Amino acid sequence: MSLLNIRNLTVCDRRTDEILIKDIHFEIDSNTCLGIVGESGSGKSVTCKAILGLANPWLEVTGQVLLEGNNLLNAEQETLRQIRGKRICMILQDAMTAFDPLYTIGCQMVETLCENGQYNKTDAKIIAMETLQKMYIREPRLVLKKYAHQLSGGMLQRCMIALAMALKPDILIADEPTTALDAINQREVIEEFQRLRQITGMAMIFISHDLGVVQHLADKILVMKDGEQVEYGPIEQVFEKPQHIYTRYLLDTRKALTKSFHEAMKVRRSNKC
Amino acid sequence: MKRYILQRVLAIFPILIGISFFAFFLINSSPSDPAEVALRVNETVATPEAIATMRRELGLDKPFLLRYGTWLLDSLQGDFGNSYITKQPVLNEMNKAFPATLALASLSLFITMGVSMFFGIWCAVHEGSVGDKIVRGFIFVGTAMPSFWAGLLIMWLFAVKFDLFPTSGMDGFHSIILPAVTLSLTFISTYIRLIRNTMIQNRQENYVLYAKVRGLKEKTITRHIFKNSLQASLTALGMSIPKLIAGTVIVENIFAWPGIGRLCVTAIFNRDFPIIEAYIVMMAVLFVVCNLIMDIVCALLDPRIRQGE
Amino acid sequence: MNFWMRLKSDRIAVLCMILLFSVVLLGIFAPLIAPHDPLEPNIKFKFADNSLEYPLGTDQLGRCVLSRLLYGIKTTVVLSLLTMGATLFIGTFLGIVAGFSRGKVDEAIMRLCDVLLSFPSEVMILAIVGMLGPGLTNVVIANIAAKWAWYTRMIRSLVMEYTDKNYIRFAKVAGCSSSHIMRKHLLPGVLGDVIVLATLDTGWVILTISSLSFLGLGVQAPTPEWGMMLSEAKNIMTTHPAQMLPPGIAIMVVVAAFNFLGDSIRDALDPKGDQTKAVVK
Repeated sequence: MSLLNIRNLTVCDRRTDEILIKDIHFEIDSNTCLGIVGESGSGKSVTCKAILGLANPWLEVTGQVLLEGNNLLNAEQETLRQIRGKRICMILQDAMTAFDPLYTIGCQMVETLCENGQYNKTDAKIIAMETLQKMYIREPRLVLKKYAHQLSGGMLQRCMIALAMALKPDILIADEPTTALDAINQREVIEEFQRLRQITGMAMIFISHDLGVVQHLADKILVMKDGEQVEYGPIEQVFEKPQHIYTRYLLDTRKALTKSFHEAMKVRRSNKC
Repeated sequence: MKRYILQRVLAIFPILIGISFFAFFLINSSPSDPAEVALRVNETVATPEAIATMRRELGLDKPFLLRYGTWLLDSLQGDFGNSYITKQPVLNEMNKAFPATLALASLSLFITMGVSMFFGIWCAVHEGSVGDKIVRGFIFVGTAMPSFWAGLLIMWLFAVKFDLFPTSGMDGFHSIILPAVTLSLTFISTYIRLIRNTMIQNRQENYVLYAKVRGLKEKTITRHIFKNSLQASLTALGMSIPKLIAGTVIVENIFAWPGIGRLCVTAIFNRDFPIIEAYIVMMAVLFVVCNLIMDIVCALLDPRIRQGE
Repeated sequence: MNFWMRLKSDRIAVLCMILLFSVVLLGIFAPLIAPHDPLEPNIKFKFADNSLEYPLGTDQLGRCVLSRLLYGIKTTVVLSLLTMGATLFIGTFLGIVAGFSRGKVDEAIMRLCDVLLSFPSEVMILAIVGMLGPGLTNVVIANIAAKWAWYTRMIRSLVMEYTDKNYIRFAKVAGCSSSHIMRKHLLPGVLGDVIVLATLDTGWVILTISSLSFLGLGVQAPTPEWGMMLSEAKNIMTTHPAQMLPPGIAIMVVVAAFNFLGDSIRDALDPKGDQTKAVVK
């Protein structure tokens, strides 16, 4: 039995009867990484929120979300709360607005660690500091005292990752964690995700619209288009023998892009010589 | 932060000058001649000579701006002149009446805050439940109900019918209850609605989603939402403290509560201009200062303003 | 027009409009409808119960309560509408002048508004009534004086918004005179928004006028007015508490209708608000 098993996950908007995502299937084991790829609006974020039981109240979620065999869709709110954070944690897309602007980062990290029942306040502070250090953040003591508006997007993203690391969940969902960042920050954050996996051995669901990023991290890949799953399989298989025309299109575009990039670089190099 | 406070404090001076000038101008452009009024209330026949003497006595023969200057300087020292009726200094009259109003206003502020925070948060948390709908019904009635009617109904029910509280006057602690409750009714409905709606709005924010993702307890999340909603409520509260004191005018007259609102209405009936003048200036200053304090409190609460330059 | 369509589809708004419209009609035709002279005392029938002759009974002087209520509409509701109209007129005029001329005139009007707006309007009204003395006309003047500044500021910003629109710019370039542009192009554009703002405030004006009358600063006895009627009912509260009900309910219903209508209009104006409402539901 795998750690997390999603079966026939369907989300429907009760107000308009529009089906947002339809019949999603996937499973994930510890120490593996699943990449979910698709355009914006293809239902990636809704899928994650539905797994955590955080879909907006007007959305109807059907199917099964099995965490070690227990269906989360039927679970009590309190059970779900205890699962969130401790067992399944998520990293949000927009780091700038994810923290409460009126509390310091440290305060929010400590409160999270305390409420998930693992530590008391003093320990939580030490843990927070240590994890920030592991994320190669200089002067973690200072960062903990800052408010969200005083830190950059990349820094906040790292704080979120650090918090996820400190919580040691079984599954980490990262919802486009690199979209809001510039190229250099993106690269560093991806490296941090890799390190996170190596250190903790947690299962990871990594959502992105960037095939390149997913290629670096994922073992398996799921391609979504308009709320439907069009491709699902081990990464090598998908990259070498894409089944669906949309996946092929994605791969081709990527190849074309990198090709022209390489050529441009070649021209520059030869010019320099 | 210090600079912010300093800026705000300095900015109120021109406004205060404008207000004082306006109040002075208003009274002096009154169609009835203050000298004549002063004579009439003392039951002296208003012969032209008597008016001329009175004008000199009141300093009304000097040019307008000069009179304004003297008046401003005097008022800054707390000297608003003497009441035409009682011949007592206006400041004394105000000092006598102000504690009663202050007690009334603070108690109703207290009631307003307590009740509206409780129901506001409760309704936001239990949005759409039967209780929420009932409270919203009350809010609706509360905003449309004239406060003097509410006051009368409350007075009839609790003072006449059940004889729990005195109908009027100031006689021990239990005579303040009915006026205070009446005064807070209108504000309560405004604030429940405000707190409820800002909290519901805040619940859609990204930080709440992340708080849920982090597995925080429902109570903690509500605390986060409440603190973020507090700012809008605090600003509105600051705005309504002077409104609360202005609202005492009606309540004090219903329940015969001897505060400044009653003093002012009596003064209007008697055309006792110095008291009216002092009342206006006092209310305006109160309004400006309350706004200032609330702005500063909000800035202190919000790290974005507190640390930003 | 999209706005009217949305408003019409709102059942509560339509209901409020019908209610308010009939209230105004009742007030205007009070002399024809009212069963009795509202001022005529009839001591023999004082505190009469409900009957065919006196549908709502009589008051302490034996005057017909229903007739007094109907005549009261004229004083309370019609006067509030008049007050609002006058406020709008002044506000629109000064607002357009300030917004259109800019420069020194604008500066002067705006500073005056700043000072006036630094008072709470309740205090402002008391101040003006205090200066002019009690009386209905003075109450109306006070209400107008307390409110015009707010409208002027509002309308000025609307005008600023409109003058930046291309068709007004074009009219300027085409050599139309300022007054022509104001009358033909600016006024129709701004007026729609303004009338909406005014509806939101009418309930408030009704409350103010009746509060002042209740205090004895507004309408003087024996003129029938709702606030005044309540003030009279207060004196006989211990013996005849039911006298407080008709005028109180009348004020509440009319004010509530204006508030509801105002909310609906706001929703109809701002479809975005509609959406969030749907989400909240």
